[in-house]
Amino acid sequence: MFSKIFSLPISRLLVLSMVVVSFIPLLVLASVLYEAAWQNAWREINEKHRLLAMNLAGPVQNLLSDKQRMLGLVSNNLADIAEHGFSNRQIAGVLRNAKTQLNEFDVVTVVDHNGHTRALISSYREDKLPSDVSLLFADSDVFLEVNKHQKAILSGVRRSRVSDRPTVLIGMPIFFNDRMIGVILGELSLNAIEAWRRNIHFGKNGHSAIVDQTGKAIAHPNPNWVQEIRDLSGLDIVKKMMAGETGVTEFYSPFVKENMVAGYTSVENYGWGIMVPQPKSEVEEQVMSILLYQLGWGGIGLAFAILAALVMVKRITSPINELAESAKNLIGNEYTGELPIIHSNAPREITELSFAIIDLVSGLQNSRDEYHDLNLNLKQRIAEATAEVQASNRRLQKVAKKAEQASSEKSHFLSSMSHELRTPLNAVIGYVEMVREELREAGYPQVIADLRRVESSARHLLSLVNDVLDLSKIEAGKMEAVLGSWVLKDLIKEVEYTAEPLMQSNNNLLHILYENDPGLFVTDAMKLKQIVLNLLSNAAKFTQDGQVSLEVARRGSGSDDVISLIVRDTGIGMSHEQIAHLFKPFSQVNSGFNQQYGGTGLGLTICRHFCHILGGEIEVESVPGKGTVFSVSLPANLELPETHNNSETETSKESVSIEDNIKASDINPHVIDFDLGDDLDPS
Amino acid sequence: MAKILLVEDNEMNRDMLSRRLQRKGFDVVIAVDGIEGLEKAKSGEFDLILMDMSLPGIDGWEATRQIKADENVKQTPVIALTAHAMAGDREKALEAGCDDYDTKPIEFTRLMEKIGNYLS
Repeated sequence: MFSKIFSLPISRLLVLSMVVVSFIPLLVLASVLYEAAWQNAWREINEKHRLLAMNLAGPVQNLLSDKQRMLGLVSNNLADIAEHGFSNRQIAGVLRNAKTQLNEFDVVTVVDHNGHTRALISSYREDKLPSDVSLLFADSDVFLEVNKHQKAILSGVRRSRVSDRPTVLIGMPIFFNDRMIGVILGELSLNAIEAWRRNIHFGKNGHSAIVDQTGKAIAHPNPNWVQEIRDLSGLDIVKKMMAGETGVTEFYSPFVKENMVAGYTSVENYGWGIMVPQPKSEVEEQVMSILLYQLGWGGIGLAFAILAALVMVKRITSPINELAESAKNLIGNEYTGELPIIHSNAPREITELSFAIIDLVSGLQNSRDEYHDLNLNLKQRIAEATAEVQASNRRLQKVAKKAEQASSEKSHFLSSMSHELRTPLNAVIGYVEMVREELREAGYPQVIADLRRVESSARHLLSLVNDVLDLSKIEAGKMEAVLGSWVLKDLIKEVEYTAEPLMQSNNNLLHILYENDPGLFVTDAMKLKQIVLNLLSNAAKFTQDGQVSLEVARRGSGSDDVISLIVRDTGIGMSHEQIAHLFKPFSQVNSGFNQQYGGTGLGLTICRHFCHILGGEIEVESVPGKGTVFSVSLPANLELPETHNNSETETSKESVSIEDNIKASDINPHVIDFDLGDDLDPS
Repeated sequence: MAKILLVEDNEMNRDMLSRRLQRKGFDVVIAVDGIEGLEKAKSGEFDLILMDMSLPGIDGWEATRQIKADENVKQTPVIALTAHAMAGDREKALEAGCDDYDTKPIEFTRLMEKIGNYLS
């Protein structure tokens, strides 16, 4: 939620934050202002209400003391006449003479110490007065008080015994020769006081009221209360006034029926109370109006502040937006076009941001250009490299083609070479054979022995040529298996027959051992015979007066059968190093071997190739001086090609391919003429 | 005595083989190239023809083809002699009409066996 708020535009965020932020200070301000307004109101009440009360108290006190003094003067005048008798007529005369001074009194009367009214003057008409006033004041508390204490008394408010209207009585003793001879009583008119009270009114219900020393209403806006002389001494403010205090207070007015605030004081020497109350609501209204006035200004100020802030924000955000817009355009146009130049009046930070973006963009443009150049360069280089690779590919192809050509040429060369070699050899062997026959018939046994050596050498040479031819065919990839189904024992028998003379030449014994009956064997018979014969001839060649064995076995059962052929001799053996080079062409263990044992060194190479062609493998183990073991394993059930099946079974052992016509004698380097038997015939 | 035509361009082979055959008692007539061989073969006087395949003029295959195309002499057995110990040569020879073939170098005993097959 907060993250949503903070993603608002700055202007809204600002207004929001200002509203939020100003709410609390405004609240505080309001309470402070409220408090201040109240303090102000109280001060005003203090100054106005209290002063008004005090201002009213002065004249009231003056009035009372003035009237008391007037009665005192009249009392002195009465004492003066007492020398000359104290007759009622004289007393009335004095009173009449003083009437002007006593005009504030409704009734003034003189009562002797016995309580008899001696004279009475009144502002009322005669008929309004009681008919008999002689003992009217005899039981009056004021008279009794003055008579008793012989001093002046101001009474509380009371009903006039003359007019029944509310009034206050002032009583003073009349002394003659230090003896009190009577009391002068004056019923003070309250009209003047009421007039003064009435002068003080303000606001809607602001007024004043006066109570006497006992808390009874003397002057009050409610005339009934004055008429009935209501006792207000129960009010707190009245109690405070009775206690002689001056101040400001709150109280509940039973008259206005609401809380009032009032200034109050008491009249010195007389104990009257004067208060100037006003409904508190009026003061509150005043306070609130002041508060609202102040808050209104505050609000206007805030509004101006927000407005100013918005203007400022606009000044900040519009260049930022401008920047964002032009940056967007730049990105859209792949960093081409105008750089983000902003209003010159933007704030310094924004201007700096703009400069930074300009730097950034021009940096980007530069790197883009550099990248572009680099890219071009790279492309060019890649193109160059590609061209180079292509060129070298072409060269390689040329070289490969050449190599292929060379290889094919080599194979062709070897093939035709062996062919060309075979033709004269053919002639040599043929002639030797022929000559030998002729000599035998003519009876030259000595020459025959030499001719046998010639023929043997010629046949050896022929076998070399055949090996080279085989190898060249293998390397040219022209050597293929010609498969037929054979009885393995028959093939072995043929080989055994061929190998027997080789064994005899080094006085070795050949053992053929069958671990089990190998049965039928699908293979290329010519190649198989060549492999076995080669191994046997090797064994015979490197063994003297020893044993050579051929162990034949069929391992496994079913289609995955393997024919195992192991040739074991007790000959000179080979070292590891010799074994390592054994199957490489032209690598008879060392050059000396060639001379000592003969052979091309191609026999084992061809053997291994043939084993591979027949889907098998050949392995060798040897201990120098102890003997050598060659192990050949060939799959027994190579798949017969359909087309050759019939013809081969029909032709039986006759070959399908021309190679099969090369008999063991053609392909083995050490097979010599088997017709020798005839030649050795002593006949 | 059986009469054999030996068509062979190599002088030494021709001499050697003819002498050995003669020693075995055959009446041997020689031809040194395909044209001569064909000419002599068409005389129809031979019991068997030994034909070298690589010959100057017309080669052995062509000569054989023509012999076998001649109604008068086509029954004469032709044994091809080839030094091309390559697969396919046999088929090529048999295709041309040769009755049998043998490879060089001549294994004389083997050749005698083959000849014997036709002249017994």
